[in-house]
Amino acid sequence: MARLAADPNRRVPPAVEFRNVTKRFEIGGSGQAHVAVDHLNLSIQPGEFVCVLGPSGHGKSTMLNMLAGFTEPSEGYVLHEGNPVSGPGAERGVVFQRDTVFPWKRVADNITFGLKARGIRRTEREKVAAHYLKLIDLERFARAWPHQLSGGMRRRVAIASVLANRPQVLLMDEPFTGLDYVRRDKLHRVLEQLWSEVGCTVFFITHDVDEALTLADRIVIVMHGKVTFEMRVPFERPRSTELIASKDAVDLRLTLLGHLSKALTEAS
Amino acid sequence: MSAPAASESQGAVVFGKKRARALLPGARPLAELGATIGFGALGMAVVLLIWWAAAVRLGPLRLPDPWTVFVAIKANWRSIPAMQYVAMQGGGVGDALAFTVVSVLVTVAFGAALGVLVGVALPHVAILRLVTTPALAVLGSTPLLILLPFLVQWFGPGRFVRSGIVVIFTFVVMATVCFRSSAQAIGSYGLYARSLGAKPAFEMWHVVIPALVPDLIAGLRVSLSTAWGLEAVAEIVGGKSGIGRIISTMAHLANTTVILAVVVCLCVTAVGVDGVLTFLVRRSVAWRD
Repeated sequence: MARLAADPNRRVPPAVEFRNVTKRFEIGGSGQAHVAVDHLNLSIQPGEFVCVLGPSGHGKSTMLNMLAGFTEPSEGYVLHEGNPVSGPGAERGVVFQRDTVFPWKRVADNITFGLKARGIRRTEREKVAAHYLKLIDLERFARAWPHQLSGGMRRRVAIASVLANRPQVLLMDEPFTGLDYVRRDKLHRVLEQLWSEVGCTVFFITHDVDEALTLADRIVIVMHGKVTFEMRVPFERPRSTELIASKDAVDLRLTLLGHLSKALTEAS
Repeated sequence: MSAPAASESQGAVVFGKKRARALLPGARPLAELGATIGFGALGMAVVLLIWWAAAVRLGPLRLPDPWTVFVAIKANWRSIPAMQYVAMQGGGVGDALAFTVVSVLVTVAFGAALGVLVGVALPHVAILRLVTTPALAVLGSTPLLILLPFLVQWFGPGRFVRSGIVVIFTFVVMATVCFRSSAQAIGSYGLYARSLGAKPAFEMWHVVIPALVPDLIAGLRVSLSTAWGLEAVAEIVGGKSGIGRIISTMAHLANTTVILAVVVCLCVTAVGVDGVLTFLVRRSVAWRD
């Protein structure tokens, strides 16, 4: 499966960079501020698949929102290819945790929404829709309404809709939460297949250590608004269930869980 | 056990003719339509029965029976002799109904258009929101019908007051509905649309407007259902034409039969218009489950 590899010896600007980023939220007019992200530094190379792990409420989604352009940092810079992020844009596609497939558009029209927004011609849009529908195995449902699909199918449509737009960075905020193991595994395959075709950089938030081990080139743990641990995942793709259950993977899992537990214990 | 389904589109295994009929294309909607009409007719029959029983109990002067009212509709459709004699006004139930219907549809359309424009703009324009929201809250809580006699006294019994009541009511309903619906659409889908590269105009046309169509039509139905009554009452208080004018004249003559006749015609028309709107809803929101 072809993909862009992050070559540490090659000097290329990071696809994404958090440079001493702090984000504060005022707590309900009290004058007090909650520091969601605290002088965070992180670089992600082009084509890299980074999974961000960490407990709830420790700044992961805030990082994603800043990278998506939905909010601005209080201090520091969030950069995309060296340029400060200012507002949402098609070059940074977002797959949300909640269902965002447009209910009033058919499946094929959902997939080509971004293309239409950018003025791509109909014939080209139809080709792209056909291609992605085939990749996500939903060719028969091109004219279906989203309410006629299952949750897993709508997730596939959501991912295809964002990737059909060919973003340079793909941001995913716990996109498979609530799905059962079988559906989740299937969606992992779909995501990897689409990602290998598009070759974008991926910023993927998850609570699931196994999911991170299955998908990531690099796992970053964020706690209390800071990067506290980073680790490369040395396994080749595709990563089977047997590989994730192997001794090497278990060791990595224990390392990650150990770090998470220790950091939480020290904080309390 | 019978043979498996012939085609994938028919889905499950077929057991017997009943199930086969149910799975034929179009069979289910027809059956549902038949059931709807059948049960609806049964409901109307019960209403008519209760009406008849009440008419027998109360007597023809106080409550004419359904057949008498039906005969009166036919007899007075083209002209109402009493109106010609007392009010020196030609035309019958049909003309009055047409006048009221056109008045309601035009004023509701105007009020709805204004309401939709303002409602959709409110989430985007802070100043407009600050200025308009309190006014909408006040107008939405005010019983406009109680103001009608004062408005007639101040501005006269003309078209301005009669139409104004319906326009104001419709405007308030539609602006409130569209504001809430478009704000919700922006909250739920706006960021996603922008992350796909949609500009504000594209987002408005392809996200906000389609999202608010179901609520918009619901608001229209609410507006229309009340507008019939508002228009009729406005015509009673100060109108020179329409259903309300007939009601006020016939009330002076204690002609309960003709009053009921025009009320029944208005009700049937209102139900018919609502039915058309319901049909349009089903067609335009096929994407809803």
